[in-house]
Amino acid sequence: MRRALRYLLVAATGSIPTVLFVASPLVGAAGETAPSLPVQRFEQNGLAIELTVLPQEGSSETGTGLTAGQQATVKVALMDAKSGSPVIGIRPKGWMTGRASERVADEHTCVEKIRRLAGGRLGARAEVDLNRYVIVTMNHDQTVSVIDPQVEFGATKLESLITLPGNGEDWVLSPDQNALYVTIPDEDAIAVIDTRTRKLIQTIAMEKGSRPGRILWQPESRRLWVGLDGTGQVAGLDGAEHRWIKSITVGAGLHTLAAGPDGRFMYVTNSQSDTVSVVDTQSMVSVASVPVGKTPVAMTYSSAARRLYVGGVNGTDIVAIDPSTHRLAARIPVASGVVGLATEPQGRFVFAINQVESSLSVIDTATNAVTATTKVVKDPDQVTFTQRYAYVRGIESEKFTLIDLREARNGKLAPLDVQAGRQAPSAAPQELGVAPMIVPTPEGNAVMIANAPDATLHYYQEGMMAPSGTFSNYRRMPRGILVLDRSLREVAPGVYQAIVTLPHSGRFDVPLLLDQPRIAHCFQVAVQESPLATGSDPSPRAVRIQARFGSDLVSAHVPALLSFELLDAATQEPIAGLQDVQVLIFEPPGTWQQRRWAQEERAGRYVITQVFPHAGEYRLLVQSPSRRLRFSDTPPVLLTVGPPMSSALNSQAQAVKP
Amino acid sequence: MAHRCLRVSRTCITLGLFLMVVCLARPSAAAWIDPLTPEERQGRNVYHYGEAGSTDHVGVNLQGVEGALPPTLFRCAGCHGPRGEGTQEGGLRVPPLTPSVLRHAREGPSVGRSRLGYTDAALANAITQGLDPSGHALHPSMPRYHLTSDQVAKVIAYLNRIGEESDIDPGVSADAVTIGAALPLTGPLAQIGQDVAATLRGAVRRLNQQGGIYGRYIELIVEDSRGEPGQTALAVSRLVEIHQVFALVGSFEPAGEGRTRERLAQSHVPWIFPLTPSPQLSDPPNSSIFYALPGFDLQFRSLVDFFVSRTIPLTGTSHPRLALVHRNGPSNAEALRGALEQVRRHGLNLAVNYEYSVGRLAVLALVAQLEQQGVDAVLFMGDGEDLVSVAQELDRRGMSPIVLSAIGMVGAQARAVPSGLHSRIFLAAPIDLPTEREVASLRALSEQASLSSVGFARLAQGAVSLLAEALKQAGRSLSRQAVVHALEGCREQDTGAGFSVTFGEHHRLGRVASKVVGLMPDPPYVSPVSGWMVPEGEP
Amino acid sequence: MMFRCVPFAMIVWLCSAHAAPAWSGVTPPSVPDVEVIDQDGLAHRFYGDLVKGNTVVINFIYTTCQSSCPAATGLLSGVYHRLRAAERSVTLLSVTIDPVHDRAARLKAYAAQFGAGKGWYFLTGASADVARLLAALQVSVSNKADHPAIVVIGNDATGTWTRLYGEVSVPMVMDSLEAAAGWPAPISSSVSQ
Repeated sequence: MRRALRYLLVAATGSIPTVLFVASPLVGAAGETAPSLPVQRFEQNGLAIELTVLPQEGSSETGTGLTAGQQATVKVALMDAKSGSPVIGIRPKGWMTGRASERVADEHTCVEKIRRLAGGRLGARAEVDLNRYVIVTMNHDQTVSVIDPQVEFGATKLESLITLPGNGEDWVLSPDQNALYVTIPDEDAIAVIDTRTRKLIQTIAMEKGSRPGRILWQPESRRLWVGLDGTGQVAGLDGAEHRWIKSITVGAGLHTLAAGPDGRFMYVTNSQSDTVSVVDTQSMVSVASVPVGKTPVAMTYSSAARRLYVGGVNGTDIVAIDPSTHRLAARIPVASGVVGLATEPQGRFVFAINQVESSLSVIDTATNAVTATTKVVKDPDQVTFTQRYAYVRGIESEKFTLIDLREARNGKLAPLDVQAGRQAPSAAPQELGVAPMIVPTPEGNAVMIANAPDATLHYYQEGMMAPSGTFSNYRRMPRGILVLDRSLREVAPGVYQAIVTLPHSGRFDVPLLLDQPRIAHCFQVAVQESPLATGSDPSPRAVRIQARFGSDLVSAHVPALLSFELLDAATQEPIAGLQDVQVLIFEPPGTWQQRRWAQEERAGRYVITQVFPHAGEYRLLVQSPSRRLRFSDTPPVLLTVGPPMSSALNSQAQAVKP
Repeated sequence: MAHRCLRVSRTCITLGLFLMVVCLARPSAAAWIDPLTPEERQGRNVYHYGEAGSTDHVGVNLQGVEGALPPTLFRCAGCHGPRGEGTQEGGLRVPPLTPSVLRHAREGPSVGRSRLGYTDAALANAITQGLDPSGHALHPSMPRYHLTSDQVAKVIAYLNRIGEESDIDPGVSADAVTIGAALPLTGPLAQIGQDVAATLRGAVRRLNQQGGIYGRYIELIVEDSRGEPGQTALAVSRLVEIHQVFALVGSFEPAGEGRTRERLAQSHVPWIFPLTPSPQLSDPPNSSIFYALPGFDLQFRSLVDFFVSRTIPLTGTSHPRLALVHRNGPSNAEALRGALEQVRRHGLNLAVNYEYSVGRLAVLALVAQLEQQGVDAVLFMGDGEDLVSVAQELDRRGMSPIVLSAIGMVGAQARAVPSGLHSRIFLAAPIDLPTEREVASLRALSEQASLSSVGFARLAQGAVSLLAEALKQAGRSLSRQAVVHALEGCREQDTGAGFSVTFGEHHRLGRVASKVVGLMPDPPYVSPVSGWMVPEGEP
Repeated sequence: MMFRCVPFAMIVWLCSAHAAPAWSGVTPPSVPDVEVIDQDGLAHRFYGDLVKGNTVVINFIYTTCQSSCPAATGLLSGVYHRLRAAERSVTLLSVTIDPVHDRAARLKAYAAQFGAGKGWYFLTGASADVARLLAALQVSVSNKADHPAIVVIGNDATGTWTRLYGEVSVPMVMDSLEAAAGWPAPISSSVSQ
C-alpha cells in the first residue's frame, strides 16, 4: 500500500502518467512488473508519446515476445494528447539501458540518466543506443561485416558477419535500408542480404558470363539496375521481390549507371562503344544511344542545369546531354584522363577527377566552363561529398584530399591532404574496386574511410588535422564501406522507428528525450531469456567498480600496479573467480589505448600492471564476458598520471593499499 | 523652290516614316511564344499568385472562416511550392502536387493514409470542398477555394504541366531569356539614355560570349522613354505586356504613375536597379523591385548623424543652431522628410527653416537671416548653382557655417564654391566614386569614348551582373520567383560595378548607408571624411 | 492523518481521471513579464497586462512565412470570429518569432489581412525579450522555418493550460477554450463547419 501511495504522490506532482500506468501497481502484487501492454503512453503539456517495442517476425510469441539476442523494432509516435493528430518536426532521441536495480525509477533518476546519456562523450553509455549507426564493409574474403563503431572509445564491435557466394564488386542499400544488394561478377550473381536479420536471403542468378558490375537504385521506385559488363546489357531487378525482371541490350564495355530526375530514364555508359544508352524505365527499353567522347566511364546528373555530364578516360572533353532531347547540349574541353564525375550537393557544380594528371577540376554548369583546377592525391579515382567538403581518394596515396565546398563554388580551391592509414590502396591491387571507400556518417560532419592494405577503418571529423579514430577491420581488407543508419527514423508523420538487437534478458529502461518542448521520460520494457541460452549464465546483475588506487601517485614511464574491486551493485558483495577480466585503458579521445588481462589478487580484487607513456588524464574500463559485463556498462574510472619522477624515488613510488 | 522642297520633304516624310517603322520594329525581336495554352497560363497565375485576373476575386474559406482572408496569402505556391514539389515548414508538411504524385493511388502509412489517384473531378472537389478522392477531409490547414468551375478547370489544366519544361515564366524560351529597359534614347536626357543602353548592351554581349547561362542567351530590348514620365510609363508597359520580358534591368522608373506601378506589381516582373535617385519603397515593399542605392531621405539622415558625431570639432559648440534651406519640389521632399526626422531624433535646434521655389532664391535675405540667427550649420537641399550663390554670399560676409548637402543634388558644380568655404562643405555620397580603372573599363564595356553619366552606367552594369548571378543560382528551371528568391539571398554581394548590395526577404534596398565626403581643390575633388554610416534608427 | 485522507484522495483522483479526459494536467508555463509591443506600437507587459486573469490563446508566426503561418493565423481568425459572435472575452496573442524584421507596422499590415481587431494582439518587441518569451513557452528554434505549429491555451485565473499540436482545427481550439474557461454552454455546436 505504501508503495502505491508513493506512486500516487509521484503521479500527482509534475508530469502525469496515464491511468493505465498508475493502475497496474495497484492491481499487481508487488507493483514492480513492467507494463506488459504493447503500447505505452506518456503525456505532458498536451503532447503524448507512445512507445511500442515489437519483436521481429520469427521471434518467440510468449509474453511480450521480446527475447534476448533477437532483433526488435522500437517505435516512438508523437501526437497531440487530445486529438491524436501526429506531431512532426520534433525528433526524439532514445536509448535502452539495463536496469541496475529492482527499484522503480522515479522521474528524477530518469532525468539524471538522460542527462548523462545525452551529455558528454565519456558519460555513461547505454547498452542500446537508438541514435546510432553501424558500418558495413565488403571484404576480400567474400564476407560482409557489420561493425558497431563506438567511436568514443576507439573500440569497435563486430556485430555480424555474412558470407557471400563470391567476391563483391559494387553494392547498394534499398531506400528503407532493409535490404543490401551486392553484385558478384565472378559468380554472375547478385546477393541479397536482409540487414535486419543480417542474413543472406537470396542469390539472384544472372546469365553465365554476364559479370554484373555496377548497381543503382532507381529513384522513387522499387526497382534496381545492374550493368552487365560481360554481355553488353543492363538488367532491371525488382527490389521488393528480389528477382530479375528483364535485361536490355545497350553497348559494349564497362557500364557506369546514372539516374535522371524522377527516375523516368536510366543512363548507361558503354566504355567500348563510346556511347551512352538511354533506358526508359517504364517500358524497359533502350530508347537512344548517344555518341559521347572516347571510353566514357564517368557520369553525373546536375539538378541545377538539368543536364547529364559524361566524361571519358581517353576523351578530350566532357559532354552535357539534355535529358529531354537526349542530344548533346555542350562540350567542355578538358585534358584526357577523366575517371570520375560527381555533382556537389547543391546541384550546380560538377567535380571532375583526372587520374592521368592527378587533378580535380570544378565545372560551373551555368556556363559550362572549368572555374578551377588543382592537384590532388596521386591517381585519384573517387570523390565523396559531405555538406561542407569534398573528399578525394588516390590509389597511389595513403592520404586523401579535402576540399572546402564553399570556396570551390567561388572558384577557389585550397586542397588539404590528410593521412588515413599507412599504405596506399595500390599496395593491395586486387582489392581495388568501384565501390565507394569513403562514406559520410550521419552526424553530418565526419566520414569513415576504409583502407584495404592496412585492413583498417579511419574515422575523420571535419576540422581536425588527422583522423580521430583508427579501427581494425578484423584483419579483413575492405573493398567497400557503407553506413547503415540505425537511429530513430521517421517512417510515418510523427512516427519514428529503429531496429535494435536486444542485448540480454531482464528489465530495461527506455529513456526518451525530446528537445523542444523539453520532455524526458523513461519507459520500461521486459526482455525474456533466450531459450537457447545455457542454464549456467547468471542474470546480468550490475557490477560496480571500486578503484583502489585513487590516492596513489602514478607516474609516467614507471610500471604502476592498479587494483580494483568488482562488486555486485545490489548486494555490495565482491565478485570472485572471474577468469576473463580485461581492462581497457585509454587517453581521450582514444588515440592511445591498451588492453590488459587482470589477475585476481584476492576474492573480488583484480590487478593490472601498466606503464603510461606520459603524464595526462586516462580512463579505465573493465569487461568480463562471462559476467556479461561490457566495457560500456559502467562509467569509466578516471586516473591522473603525473610526470616521470627521478629514478631515486622510483622504488618508493608504488603504494598499493593492502 | 518651295515646290521642290515640298516634294523632297514628302519623300523625306515617307522615308522617315519608313525608317521609323523599321527602327521601331527592330527592337521587338521575335515575340515570345508561350509553351502553355492560355488556359494553362491563367491556371498558373492562380496557382502562383492567387490572382484570377484583374477583375475576378478568389474567395478563400479556411476552417469555416468566411471572408477576411486574403487569397494572395493563401496562394497554392506558398504551401505547395513554386514547382509543386511540396514544402515542410513550421511543423506543417505539405505534399507535392506533381502529376506523378497526384494521379496515382497512394498507400499509407508513410504519408498518413491511403487514397485513390486524383481524377479531374476529384481535384476540383479537393480544391473547392477540401476532400480527397476517398472522401476523407484534407488537412485542416488546406483552405477551400471559391472558384468558378471555369477557374477550377484552368488550375487543373496547369497542374498537368507543373514542374515540366513548359512550366516557365514569360520571356523564357529553350535558348533565350529576354530582358528589357526603358531608357531616354531621345529627348533632353538622350545622352544619358544612349550611354546606359550601350553599357547594358556591352554587359549582355559579354555574358553571351561566355555561352550564356544554362544554355540560354540573354536578349535585351530597349524601349524609348523619351525622358518624360508619361512616355516612360508607356515604354515600361510595352516591355512587360507586348514584349513580355522576363525581367527589367536598369531602366528608368515611371515616377508617381500609380496605375503602371500597380500593373507592374501584378505582373510580378523582377526589376533590378531602377535608375532613380528616389527609391519608392513601401512597407511591405513591392515584392519584385530591387533598388540599389539609398534615396535622399536616408542620405540626409546619415548626414545629420555625421554632423551630430562631430558637432564640437565642426562648430565649437555642443548646442549648434541649424538651418534648413530647401527648394520645394518632389525630389527634395524626401530629403526634407529624412532631415527633419533625424533632427528630431537627435533633438537638434532648428533655428531657420527656409523654403524657396525654383529660380526664386533670395540669397541676400537668406544669408542675412542665417547671420541674424547665428546659425552654425546649414542643411542644404537645392541644386549646385543655388549652393554656389549662397556660398559666395556667405564668403563675402565672412561667415563660414558648416554646409551639409548631397552629391546627388548639387553635383560637380559644388567645386565652384569659394575656396575659403571648401573645408566647411560636407556632402553625402551613397556610393564610392569610381576609380580611373573602373571608368576605363566602363568605357570599354559600352564602347563609348566618354560617358555622360558614369553613375547610371555603373548601376546598369551592376544590374546585369546581379541578374546573371541570380540566373545562375536559379538553375535551368527558371522562374521569376526563383530569381527573386536568389536576389533576396544577396548578402554583401559584389555587383562587379564597384559596390556591393544586401537584400532580404522583405528588404528591397541594396545599400542603406552613405559616406560623407569633403571638398578638395585637386582631382578627384572630393575625399571621404567618414566611413559608411547607416542612419540611426535603421535596423 | 494523511494516511486516512489518502484513500479518499485516491478515489477522487481516479474518478476525476476517468470523468474528464479533456486533457492530462498541464503545468502552467512560467510566463515572463517582458515588455512587448503590439501592432499599434503600444507597449504592454506580457503577463501583467495581457495574460493575468484572462483566458488566452497564443500562437507563433512571422510575416515572411510562406506556408504554415497564414494557415495558423487563418485558424486563429476563425476562432476570433466565433468568439466575437458568441461575445466571449478571450485574448488572442500572435507572437512573432522574427522580432527583428516584424516591427509593429508590418504586423499591423499582416493583421489587417485577417480582419484582426480588438482583443487580438500581434506582438513583437526587443529581440532579447521576445527570445525570453519564446523560451519560456518552449518554442524557440535556431531556424525560423523549424518553428513548431502549436497553439497554447490557458486560463490564468484558474491556472488551467493546454497545448495543441499537429492538425489543429477551430473546433479543437473551441473545445479546449470551453474546458479552460469553464463556459456553461458549449458554443462550438451552434456554428456550422
